[in-house]
Formats: sequence, C-alpha cells, structure tokens
Amino acid sequence: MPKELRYVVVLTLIAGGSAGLLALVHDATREPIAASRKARTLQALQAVLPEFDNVPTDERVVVGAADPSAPTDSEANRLPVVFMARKGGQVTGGAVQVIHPRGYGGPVKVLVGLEGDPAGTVRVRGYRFLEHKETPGLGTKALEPPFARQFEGFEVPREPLKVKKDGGTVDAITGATITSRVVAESISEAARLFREHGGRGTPGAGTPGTAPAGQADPGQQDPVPGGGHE
Amino acid sequence: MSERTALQELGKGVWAENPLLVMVLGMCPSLAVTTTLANGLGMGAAVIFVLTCSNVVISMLRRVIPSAVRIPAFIVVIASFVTMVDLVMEGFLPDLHRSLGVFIPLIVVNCIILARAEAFASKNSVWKSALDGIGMGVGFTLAITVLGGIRELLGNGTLLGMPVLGRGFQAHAALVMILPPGGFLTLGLLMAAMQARKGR
Repeated sequence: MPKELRYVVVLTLIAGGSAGLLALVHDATREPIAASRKARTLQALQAVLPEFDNVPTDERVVVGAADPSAPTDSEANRLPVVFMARKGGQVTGGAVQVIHPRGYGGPVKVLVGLEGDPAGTVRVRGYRFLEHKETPGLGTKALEPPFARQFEGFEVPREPLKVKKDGGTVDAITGATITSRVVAESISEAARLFREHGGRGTPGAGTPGTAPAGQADPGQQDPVPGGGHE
Repeated sequence: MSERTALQELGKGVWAENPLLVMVLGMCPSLAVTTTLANGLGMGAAVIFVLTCSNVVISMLRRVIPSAVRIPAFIVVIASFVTMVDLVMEGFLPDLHRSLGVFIPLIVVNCIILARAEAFASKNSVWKSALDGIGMGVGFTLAITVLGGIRELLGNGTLLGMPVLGRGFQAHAALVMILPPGGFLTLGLLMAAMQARKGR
C-alpha cells in the first residue's frame, strides 16, 4: 500500500472508531444530561418563585423567539425567558431568565424571582445564577447574605438600578463590583420584562411585537439581549 | 519486568518528573481551576482518566500509526476520551461540571497529555504506558489539589467549602489568593520548595 494511502486509511479508521464510541457514550448520557438540566431549572424556579400551583415551565414567554408559540431549545437557552407563577389562576409572580453580557468572566445567566402584579408593585423574591464564570469565593459572594439580603422583598423601581459606584443605591461587594453590577442590572431588566410580558404568560399568547396598543410602551418592544441598561 | 521498574514507572510522575511542578506543563487549567480544593480534585480525576486511557490506546496503536500522521491521530484519541468525560460528568456530576466549566473540554489541548503520548506512549509497551499515565495523572492531581487547597484556605478561609479558619479570618481573607496573581504566587513557591528538597 502506498504510504499516503496508509495515512488516510489509518486516520479514517481511528476517527471512525472514536466516532462510534462517542455515539455510544452520547446515547447513554443523553437522558441523565437532559434530566439534570431540567432539574436545575425547576429547582431554581422553586427557590425563587412565590407559591404556585401551575407549571411555570409551561407558561413561559421566550422574549424575541422567531416563533413565540414554539420557541426552540436554543432560543430558550440564549434569550430572556419570563416564567409565570399562578395560584388559583391568579398571577402571584414570575421568574425571569436574564442574560447579562458583562460579567467578570463573561456573560452571566441570572434567574430572578419576582412577586406581585405585572401592572403594580413588583418585589424581588430571590435570584440565582444559572450559568456563570464569576470568580469562586469572590464574585459568587453576590449570591450570599450580606449582599443578597438588600434585595429580599426589595420593591423594584421602574428606573434602572445602579450600584453606588455608578451613582445608584445598591451596595456593591468589595472586590466584586462587576458582579454586583450584574445582579443589580439583571434585577432591573427582569422586572422590566415581567411588567412588559407578564400579562401574556399563557402558552401561545405571548407574541412580542404584536401586543395590543397600550399594554406596553412600544419603545420597549424590541427584545434587548439581557441587562441592556446603561 | 521486575516489580521495581514498574513502581518507578508509576512513581516518577508523582515526584521526580511531576508534570506540573517539574516539567511545568498544563499551566493554563492548573492556574485557572485551582481556586478551590474540590475543583483541583475534580480536574485531577478527569486528567487521570484521560491520560491513562489515551496512553493505553496510543501505545496499542503505536506500530499501526505512521509517524507522519501521528499527531492528528493522537489528538483524535485524546479528544474522544475528553468528550466522554465531559458528557459523563455533565450527566452524573452536574455541579462539578458547572464549576469546572470550559476547562474540561480544554483538557484536549493540555500539553501534559499530548506530551506523554508523544514522549512515552508511542515508544513503550501498553503496560508501561498505563503505569506512566496513572503516575503522571496522580502527580498532576496532587500538585493541583495542594495548589487549590492553599488558595482556598488563604483566599476564603475554607476547605472543601467548610469553614476552617473561623469567621474572623473569613471576613478579611486574602482575596488575592483566589485571583490569578495568587495562583502564580502559590505555584512559584511550591516549585521553589520542591527544587530545594530535590537539591539536597
């Protein structure tokens, strides 16, 4: 066999063998992976939402999806999502997935739990980082009491929240101003999306851009890719 | 093969030829993930698995792979094992997978693994290559676990997430240890200590 042909044959065989093995592993791990991702979302939702008896993952609005009645998995993964919580048919609050583009270690996906009426007072119930690359033990302090306590039951104003360094009211963590800013801005953004889309949380009814006039400020109809206040 | 040589094959990676502290390979993941002890252990376990498996497979194929295409062949083998670790970890250890993040896929380009494939597994028997892989993997794990332990202890006052040095220390922990400069400082001091011991 000419040696060039041998190169091709050997590499092809190795690549083929690897592909076969990977297909087996992929098949064996597909369900555990899907289950663990779903469990993580549900767990986070339960932790930040007020009492509910509906299935918030079924009543979600993926803000900016090409087909809002059937958002794809990848859209639900990278766009803001509003999950509605209801009890006895009444809205008790919601959770909003916000992707803040400027964390210390890259984009941060934050889930903010809100309590209240989209048309009235909106209070923070809690928040979680779903995906992040903030410094462990430093940026991750943004999820712990001294900093997180200032947002417990916090009534979110309509104007954007800012950390003190930016002329606002939020106490930042020493050495982690960027992560503190991520939290403050994500809460603002979450409340804005909740107010805007909260009234239309039923499946298929959430159609950003085709809302009846007067329901939301038309200037805010454009989907902002998360945390866009500054 | 006498038992002594097998033991030496296994032991050299831990001390005399420690991949991180003596050969200074695989610096990027070592410094990036060693902010906590648990991260160091998880990363180390993944490297032991990938290094041992890829050493064994590459050693088995060493007479089949023409030397002109050996590097792409090695990379394919290594990448396959890394992807397996990535998938299994995401499915069964989601928390660890999340904290190690992108550094699991990046094991592919960790030069320790390619270096052992090229310098050792492609020239030695399967048995010896397996021992080499385990030894080097354990040496790497020990090094990054110590590194992670020191950084977590001084930078956050905890070990494996449990408070060790008390609340007073935690409030004023040396944040710099968790940030990149602390990684370099700790690594440098560890290397110096190791050289000092070897020099005697």
